[in-house]
Amino acid sequence: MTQPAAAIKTKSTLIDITKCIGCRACQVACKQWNDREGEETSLQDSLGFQNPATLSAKTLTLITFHELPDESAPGGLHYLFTMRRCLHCLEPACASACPTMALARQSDGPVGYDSDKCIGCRVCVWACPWGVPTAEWNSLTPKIQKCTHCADRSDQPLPESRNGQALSAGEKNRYQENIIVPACVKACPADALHFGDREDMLAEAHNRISTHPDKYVDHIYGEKEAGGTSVMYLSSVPFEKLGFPDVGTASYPALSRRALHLVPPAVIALGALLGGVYMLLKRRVSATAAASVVAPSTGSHDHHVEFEPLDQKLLTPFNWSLIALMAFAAISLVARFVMGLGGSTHLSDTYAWGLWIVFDLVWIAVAAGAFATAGLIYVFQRKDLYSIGRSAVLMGLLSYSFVMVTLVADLGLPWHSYQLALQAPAQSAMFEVSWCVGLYVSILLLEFLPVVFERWNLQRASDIWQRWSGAYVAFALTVFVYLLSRELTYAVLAAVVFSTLAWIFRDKRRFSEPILLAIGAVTLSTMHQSSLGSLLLLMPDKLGPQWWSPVMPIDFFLSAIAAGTALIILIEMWIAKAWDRRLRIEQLAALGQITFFSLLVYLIFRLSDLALRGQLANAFSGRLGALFAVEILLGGVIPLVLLARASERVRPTLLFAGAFLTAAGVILNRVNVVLFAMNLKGPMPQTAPASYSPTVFEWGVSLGLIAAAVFLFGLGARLMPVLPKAEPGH
Amino acid sequence: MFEDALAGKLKLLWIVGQNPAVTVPNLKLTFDAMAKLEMLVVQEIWETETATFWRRPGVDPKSISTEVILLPAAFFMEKNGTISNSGGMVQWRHAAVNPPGQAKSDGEIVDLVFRAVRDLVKDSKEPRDEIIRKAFWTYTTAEDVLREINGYALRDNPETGLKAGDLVRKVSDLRADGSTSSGAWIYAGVFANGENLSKRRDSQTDPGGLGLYPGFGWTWPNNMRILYNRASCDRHGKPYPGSLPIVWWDEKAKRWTGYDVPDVPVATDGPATPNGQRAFHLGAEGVGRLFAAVYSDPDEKHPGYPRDVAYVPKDGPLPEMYEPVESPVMNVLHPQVNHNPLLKYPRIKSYQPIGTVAEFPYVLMTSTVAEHWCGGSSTRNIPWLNELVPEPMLEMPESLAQKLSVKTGDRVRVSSARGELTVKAVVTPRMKSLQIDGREVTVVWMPYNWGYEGLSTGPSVNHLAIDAFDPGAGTQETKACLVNVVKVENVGATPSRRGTRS
Repeated sequence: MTQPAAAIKTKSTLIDITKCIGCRACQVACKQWNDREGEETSLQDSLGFQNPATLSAKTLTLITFHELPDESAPGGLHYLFTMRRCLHCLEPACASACPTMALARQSDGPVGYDSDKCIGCRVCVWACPWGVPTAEWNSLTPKIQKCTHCADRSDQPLPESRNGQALSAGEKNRYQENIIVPACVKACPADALHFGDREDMLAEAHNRISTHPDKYVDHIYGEKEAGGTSVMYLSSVPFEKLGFPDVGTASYPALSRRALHLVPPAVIALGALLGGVYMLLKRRVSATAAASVVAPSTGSHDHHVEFEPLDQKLLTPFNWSLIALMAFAAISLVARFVMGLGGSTHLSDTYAWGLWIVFDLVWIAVAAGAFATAGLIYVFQRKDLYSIGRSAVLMGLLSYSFVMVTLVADLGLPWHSYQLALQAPAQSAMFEVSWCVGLYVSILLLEFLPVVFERWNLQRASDIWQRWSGAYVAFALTVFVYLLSRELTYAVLAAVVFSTLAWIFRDKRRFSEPILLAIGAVTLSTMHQSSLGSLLLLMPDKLGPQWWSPVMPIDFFLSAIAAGTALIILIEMWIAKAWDRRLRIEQLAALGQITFFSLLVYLIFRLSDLALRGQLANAFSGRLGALFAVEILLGGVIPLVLLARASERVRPTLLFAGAFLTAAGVILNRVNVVLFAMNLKGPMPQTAPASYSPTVFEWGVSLGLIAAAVFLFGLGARLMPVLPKAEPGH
Repeated sequence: MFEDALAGKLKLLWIVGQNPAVTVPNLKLTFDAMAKLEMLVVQEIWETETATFWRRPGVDPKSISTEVILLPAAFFMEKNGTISNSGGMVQWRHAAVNPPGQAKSDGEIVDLVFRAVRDLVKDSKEPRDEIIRKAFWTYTTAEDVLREINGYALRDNPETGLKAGDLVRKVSDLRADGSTSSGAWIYAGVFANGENLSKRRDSQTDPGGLGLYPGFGWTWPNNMRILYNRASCDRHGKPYPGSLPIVWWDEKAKRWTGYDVPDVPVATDGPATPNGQRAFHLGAEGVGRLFAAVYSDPDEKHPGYPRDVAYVPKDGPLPEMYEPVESPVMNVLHPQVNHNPLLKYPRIKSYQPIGTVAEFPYVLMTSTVAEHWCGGSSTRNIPWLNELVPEPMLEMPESLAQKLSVKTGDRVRVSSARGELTVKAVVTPRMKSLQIDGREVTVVWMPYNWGYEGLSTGPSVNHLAIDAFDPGAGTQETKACLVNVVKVENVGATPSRRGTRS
């Protein structure tokens, strides 16, 4: 087909609520065509004759019943029936959020679903402002379900004959014309549903309103909502009285599109910038080092820190308790796959994401210490922090690995994950995060490998690593840029920039540190930390105004640095305490200074953004205001005060308190954006949201994997030279 | 029938596709009557309440001696045959699938039973068996039966041009002299010229744009889509000005014509003839009736046959307003005659008590819901429909709900002079209390589609409803009886709410 895009007409259904008689033939016809089971219902308190309460994977079309008192109506009452189903946005939020294009808008209108592509991440369930997509919670292979506007009807083969008689050409044509009509429209006996091209339906709707201004409100719901939809409504009462949400007229995908389209150039620019900074600082440091040959300073002695395995008993009571928790996690993971996602968790179409996603968001934020440290040590030449580099990287590697494990548990169809490599979504934050985190884990692994080589004297492997790790980073970042942009220009530019950097820094005598790995780590982390914020850009209608912001990606990035560095401080303090080692308080205080500044920048940035958008005045009122106050005061202002002065930062108690509150504040922020500050209304018609409390298995996986990270860190520290040599001075 | 069974006069009942154990009011009488039968044959696609009345909840099967036979019948999609709608259109339906297991179409079952019975009596000399032995019964398919219903010429008739053995083509081919046969005279012509016209499916040709589609199926009588369509013309046979023309007198062709088959006694008798003015030609007067008295109108040509076969109300020439047998108010129109004087109730005193407004202050109306059909034997076995309306309910106005402190979802006990049951309440502003004769009359409503069998079960409202019926058409008085409603406290099970998963 060489038709220009503009010539493709959008298939559309016009729903005239004033004509619906509530027979629900559409609801049944929908189940019949889509082969959906009947739900086991009972007469419900609040619903009267309506059943079921909401859309679900079994119910893609629902008639809701409304008894609206109105003096001017006959009998003082409007008794109205409203069809609830997918509106088939012209720019669908669900499809834009989907990382594998399992949900996609056909050029002629229907937003369809391909379960073979779906990984079951359920971001669509949250992205849709109407609560249309639902998951098959009772299935071991939980697919997403939604109305497809019966797009599959036009694929049906036409019958050749009827009742033994061959069809005439005219009859065949009529079949052809009729078969594309959605099942619900065909079933409607009351002429309440009309199917046709969107322009015609719009004209018809305007015509009805102008012909009967007494009968209709002057509003076609769907004409402009969320950038326009293919399914549109006419009503005799204002739509808000029927529970239609005011979703605004801007298209949803535009909310995250801007942020995500910045990613490819940002990767290239950031990579180049980091390379430049490194070169600049390196030259200065080399100059200083050259100058100090005569009088060796003690300033960079940390760079020559030697590491050694920890000589401690492994099976302590504490570690036994960690092992018990790990066993708990193993049982929970088995339960997850035996009982299915719906059977082992309390997730629902309201809480499509729960504890596991909270843990992932929290964990990724606090694991930002790894990239922050790597960046500080290598790019910014903060050699004073060198001694904590290995433990930071190991902790990061373990954290991210278990984030991946949790994600696999959380995905409904993890065996479809390969689709992430095949599909090219244009504006999916989930896609960006998936690739970014995946590639970052590989870089973390490369960053940690020298420790393994050193421990087991793997010289050959070390040489290969020396030669190829830089090339790998260039390759990974180029692939990433290409996947995100799907533009050769960007890919070539990325290849040029990063290969150039790899080439410049190839000389291992001059550039002894794995600088390209550090650049890769910082670049990718910056991207995915911020993209986790982009993930929530699609949910301005659900997330509290204190949290939702168009610059949320930057909030996420800045807060992650604060939390990440704070957590490194806490871990180092824990290491010193647990293994009875010297507390390198000067280093930690230096790190505390970075925590302080990043927290300060984060807070100023976030509050100024709120103020600029006029959200600050009401930010502290109500339940959400209280949560926000705790986040900002307890997790922001107080740690800022505690960490403000260099003289105070060297006091372990204050440093600990400041780091702890910083991390806690950011953790609370991540919990808030997924759970507490989310006004989840549940599936359409968004009147019966489910409640959520994690099951024992959800706790099992999350707590058990934390235990695993802690245990494996201890094991790693014992097996490999992760921690600096215990100093005799202790 | 059930009263005959209760009296021991009816010994065998063969019920085809009906579920009286749900749909007949005053179910206590119905159940006791069934238990008095020697044999009950139920021909059904489901095990209905009627088929399992002997083991219904609360009844010891040992206490019932009725022999019950359930014959597995085919569903409508599993058999060929016609379906006739209220507009008189007869449409052929083709079997889409074969019936499962041993299930057979109703025609096959009747045929098998008939042939078996005929074999039993083939040597009988009893006069009562003669009708069976000599019956003309050669049907093998549903179309054979439709041909029989259409009718045949049994002798050559030069007037109609039919030869012996020809299928009749229209009602006027029939003769009252034994020279033709027809299973149902109004269906004469459905198989005209050997073509099963009910199979026609021309959904495109609609000459007058009236939506009549004369080539789609076949409508009795004579494929006439609108009965009495002559009445759409003035006395000159012209369509009334401004109306959509349906039929008219064609002066040139000297015959009635139009987009539909003209409903006139003789197509060539024009408006100038007496026949041309008889728009309602089945009535003796040939014109519409405002009222009719009971009278006989013998046909001069055929003494002994009434010429006028139109219906005459049994309870008077004019429609009249009567209160139901159980009513909370006196008949305000004429307080002396509260109920229809021709209505006999109670017919069996011990089974048919009449409730008083003092004991049962509210009016119960019953009907179906759109989602379930009749006794629900089919629809209550379809999960999609059970999802929509999962259980019966008592709908009540807000005023009563306030008085009883009841809200939607609460359980209420509803009782009448005949029985009681417990269901959930639905409170709605759509119902209002009525003011009649200075008295507040509260109407409550329940659907009647439920029973104790099937995927969705619930109490049958016909335990409460009264089995009075009007003396004319015999319509059940299920729209009005007296009940009391009380709230049921302390129900353990709270209604489950879908969506809450924790």
